[in-house]
Amino acid sequence: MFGLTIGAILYLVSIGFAITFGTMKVINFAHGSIYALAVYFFMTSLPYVKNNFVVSLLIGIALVIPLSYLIEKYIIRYLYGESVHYAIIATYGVLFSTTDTIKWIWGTNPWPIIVPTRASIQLFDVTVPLYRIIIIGAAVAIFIALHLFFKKTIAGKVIVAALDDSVGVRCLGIDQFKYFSLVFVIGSALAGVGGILYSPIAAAEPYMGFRFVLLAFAVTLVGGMGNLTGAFISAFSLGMLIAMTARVLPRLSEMMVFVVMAVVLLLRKEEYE
Amino acid sequence: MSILSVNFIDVFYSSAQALHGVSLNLNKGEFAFIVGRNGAGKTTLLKTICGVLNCKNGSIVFEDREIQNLRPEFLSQRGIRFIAQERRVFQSLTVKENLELAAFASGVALSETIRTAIEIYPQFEKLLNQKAGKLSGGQKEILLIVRALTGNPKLLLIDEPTEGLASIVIDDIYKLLEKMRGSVSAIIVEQNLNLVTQLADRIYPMKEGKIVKEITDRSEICNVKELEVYL
Repeated sequence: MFGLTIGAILYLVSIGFAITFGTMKVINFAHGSIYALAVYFFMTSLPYVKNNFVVSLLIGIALVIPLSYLIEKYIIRYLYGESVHYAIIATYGVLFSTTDTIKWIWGTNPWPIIVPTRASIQLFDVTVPLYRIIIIGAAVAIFIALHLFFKKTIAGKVIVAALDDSVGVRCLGIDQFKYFSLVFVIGSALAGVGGILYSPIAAAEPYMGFRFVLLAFAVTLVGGMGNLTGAFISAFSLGMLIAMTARVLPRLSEMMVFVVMAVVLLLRKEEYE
Repeated sequence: MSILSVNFIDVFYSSAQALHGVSLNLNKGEFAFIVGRNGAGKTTLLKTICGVLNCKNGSIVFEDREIQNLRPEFLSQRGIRFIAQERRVFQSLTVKENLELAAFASGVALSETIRTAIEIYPQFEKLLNQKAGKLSGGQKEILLIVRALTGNPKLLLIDEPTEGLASIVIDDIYKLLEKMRGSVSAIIVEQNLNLVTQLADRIYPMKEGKIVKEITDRSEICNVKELEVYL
């Protein structure tokens, strides 16, 4: 169950990263900033809403949406069509700045966050915490919602078309950047959801964005650039890998993700050249 | 009446110059063909007119307004449509969804676009729900042309529409282009001289990033032997 929970969180965090990478060819490490800020906004707002988890989650997401829009408008948009190195440097800069801002405002100590429900349910012979089932359910629901978004809406179809032929979309007269902004914001909001849902399990700390954005990077590469179903399968597979490795060699559990990433990169060298 | 004039444009890929002072003229309803060997700058010229590439010097005038270095989405809305060489349909989408995006971009009803597509190529009726990536090369080319024709554009820029296609499919494309004559202007890069001589109102042979000459005389246009020199 731990593996599926981690997989669900990895999916939520990486899907926005995967879309940005797949459509705009931009490696966006600022995604980690949004992930971390959503958690800090969430935990700060908790006392003001009588510790109502859902209301605080909505506040956290609502606050990171304009921030992600600003990042897209004033940083990412200038990196479309440029070398990925510029994007890595620029967005890593954002991640560093955000992390230092978090340290400055909230301090460096980890903040534990209370699990919203301690209820559990019995599945065959296993007792499963309800909260983890909620996380997995949220990831599956978002996967289905995103699938419908890309299949049924014009905005979704424009993005899929841009993945196939960006010049073709532009030459039809469609301003694809408008749709990229929308998808960028959706992806960032989902990273925020992932961060907030995971915070009661892992606590909030300033460097959480760094850790998860690298995992999101690995999930995206393993799943295939721009392959949204691939990202889903990759996230859950790597989540299970982390959980299984953690049982035997706890210190190496996250490292295994990057080993898999390296192997995939070697096998699909041409795709990423 | 001139619809497009390209005046002394220079285009660079980084520091390498691809087009050297290229000029051409196209009248409303005319078909101009560009012929030349690989690397002559034919595709670069089309990409520059439609805004995919920028030119460093010179001007491009479309319907009496300078349009050089404007974005392709803006130029498409003004009626310039580019069909690239690689037959890159939106392969993950169905034929219907490809048409849907064209209809959406042009503000035309999808039903009307589908009707036109079926009129042009009746086989599309059975292929509407098929992934565009699974179409044959000729069907992809026809889909791209139909997509570009949605919303009544004024100028089509088509890059090698018959390259690598079987002669029976080339016939279909010829018929489609023949049907379009007069209703839309077009600049077409093409190596198939039979097609060129039958459809061209003017021909611009290109060599090493330059236009070598302008051929408008009918007897010269039909002189395949002379044109072969440029291929």
